[in-house]
Amino acid sequence: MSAGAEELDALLGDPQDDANPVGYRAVLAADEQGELPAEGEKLLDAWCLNAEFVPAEYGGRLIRADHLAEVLRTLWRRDPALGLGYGFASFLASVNVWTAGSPEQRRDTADRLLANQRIAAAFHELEHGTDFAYADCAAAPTPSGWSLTGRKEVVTNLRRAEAAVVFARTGPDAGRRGHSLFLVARDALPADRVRDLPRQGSSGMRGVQLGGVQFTDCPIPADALIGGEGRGMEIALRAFQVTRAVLPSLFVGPLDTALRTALDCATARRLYGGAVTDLPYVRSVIARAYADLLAVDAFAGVAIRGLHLAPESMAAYAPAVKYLTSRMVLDAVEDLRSVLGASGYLRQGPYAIFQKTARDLAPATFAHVSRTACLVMLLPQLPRLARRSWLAAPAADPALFDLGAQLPALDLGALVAGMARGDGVLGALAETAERGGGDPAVRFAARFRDELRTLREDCRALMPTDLTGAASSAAFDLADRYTMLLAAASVLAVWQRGARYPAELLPGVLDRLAGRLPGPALLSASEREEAERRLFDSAVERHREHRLFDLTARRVPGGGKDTL
Amino acid sequence: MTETEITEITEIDAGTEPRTGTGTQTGTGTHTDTGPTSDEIRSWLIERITHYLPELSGRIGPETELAGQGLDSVYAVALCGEIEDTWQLTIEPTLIWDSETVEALTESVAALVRDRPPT
Repeated sequence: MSAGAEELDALLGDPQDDANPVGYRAVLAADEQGELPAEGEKLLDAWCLNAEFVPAEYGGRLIRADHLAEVLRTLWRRDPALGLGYGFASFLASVNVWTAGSPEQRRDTADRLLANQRIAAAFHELEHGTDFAYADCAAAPTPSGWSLTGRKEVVTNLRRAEAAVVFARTGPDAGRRGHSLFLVARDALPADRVRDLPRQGSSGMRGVQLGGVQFTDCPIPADALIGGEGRGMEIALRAFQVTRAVLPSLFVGPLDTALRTALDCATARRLYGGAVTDLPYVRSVIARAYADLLAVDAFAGVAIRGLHLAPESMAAYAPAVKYLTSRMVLDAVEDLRSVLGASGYLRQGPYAIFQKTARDLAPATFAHVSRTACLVMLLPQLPRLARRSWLAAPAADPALFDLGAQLPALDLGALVAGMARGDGVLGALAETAERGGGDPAVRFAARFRDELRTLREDCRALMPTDLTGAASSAAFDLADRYTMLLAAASVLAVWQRGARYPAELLPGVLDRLAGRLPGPALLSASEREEAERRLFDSAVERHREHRLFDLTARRVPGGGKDTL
Repeated sequence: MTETEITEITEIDAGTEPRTGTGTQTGTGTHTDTGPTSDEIRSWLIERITHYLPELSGRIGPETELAGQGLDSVYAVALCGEIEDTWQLTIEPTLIWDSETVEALTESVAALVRDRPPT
């Protein structure tokens, strides 16, 4: 467990305390103003959250991606807007520098971050979305460096960031060697060549400064180039495996808040002559959202450990985890809204944090890379994984599934821009299925293994035309099923390794994942009722004791001033 | 290369072992008697490229430029995986991006195959 997360939790204090300058009341007020909570930014400056993004060798605290994720998740639990606008955006930009920057660029980036400056990741152009291989913003060579012309849009902090990592076209070939990355200091750019565009209104993340900028013949020094001309795609393909693996773990934070708020509401209200929590429908919704939260935590945890322990597989795991967990948390929050009824929409009152959390989470699941773009990244990898890995390759090192256990330091050089070279997560699934016996975990594992057999045959038969963005919906469906099986295999293996996780919760978690795949229910009606009852009871207990719903079950501030 | 030759090569199942011996590198230095020749690698590459881009069938030869053929992103990744599996190599798609022509890619792969550690 990360000491940093506990420390940050103590600093953020009790969310329900109206006098807390970074409690829900302040967070909601800032959102109404379209701003980030000023006291929150001050607190994070004082704590130097940015140090989490800086590798230890450059004076920061970044050694393990899982510890970074746990800290950021803590912030995202309180306020996803702060989590993105203060936290994640600078991480996204800087990881490109840690991947391929020169020693001077690394030093400069570290110095800026440790001085609480911000670095924007200027990749996005509305015209091209996350298909940034076709980005138009272009840098032309000049005798003294480069000249930048074009626009970047909907980029977090672009206006106020002291520096930016800019992705720009430097050659004719889209997607090949046609793009480069530049680390530019805002104050080094002539003001008359950079025009800030008005902020685009957004439904969620309203406090985040989503900026746009128009460059016109803007000079950039030669030493701004990161990693060499034409290396932009290659660097980003590797660097973004880190950020795409980390982001899903952060979603667990807002989902925790949504579930906690739903339970606040359900345990306080009475309906139809009884407690709301006596209604079977409400109990089921709570149980299922909790099950999904645990599954997202397990899958995200394995993906993050993969950055350290299975870097050669991350070209598949990073897009897969981003794709599936986004859907799961969106679905869970929408289901929870029905528990709150009208309160799920109100911007005032004791449960107002729910609607803000839901609004912020929605664009976060799209941000960085869309779900469709994730599937497009998976498609060309599927025939190869089917041919050589699934049900044939051995299981991953068991340490991959031992969440919280020791990890070697993050080595960004080990990530590959191409294709996953193996899939040890699904290898673990086959092993569990072979164990035999009647316990539900083994029954589920056998079901998932059979599904993997079908998937393997279907993926081997994929035609070249089905490997691109123009693939048929049937091909997209295969990629979708692959992510589900990865999640199921992760959950099974995490529980198997972690004896501390309550065994009685596992069938309900697996039942939810199996429900996203074709085929009849594996649990009988009474088994499912029992599984959901145990989940519900556990959720209520954690809520009462102010413990996290995630796999750590860590105690957090809440429920009045002096509970910790 | 004639169209007939391409058709013949298309019969090979790219998912399986290459038709030449793969492992037993006898001899010393970089030359092996049993390793694939550049001709074999070139034929295999042309066959696989036309698998992904059938419109190139019959129009692709050693000097065909790879840029602008549609082999830039997704198919480069897919082809990269096939090269790895078929010739027991570890490469990145940048190898394909950095090869101007089919011949250049052939030479790069052939060089990597020659330098492959004995199995």
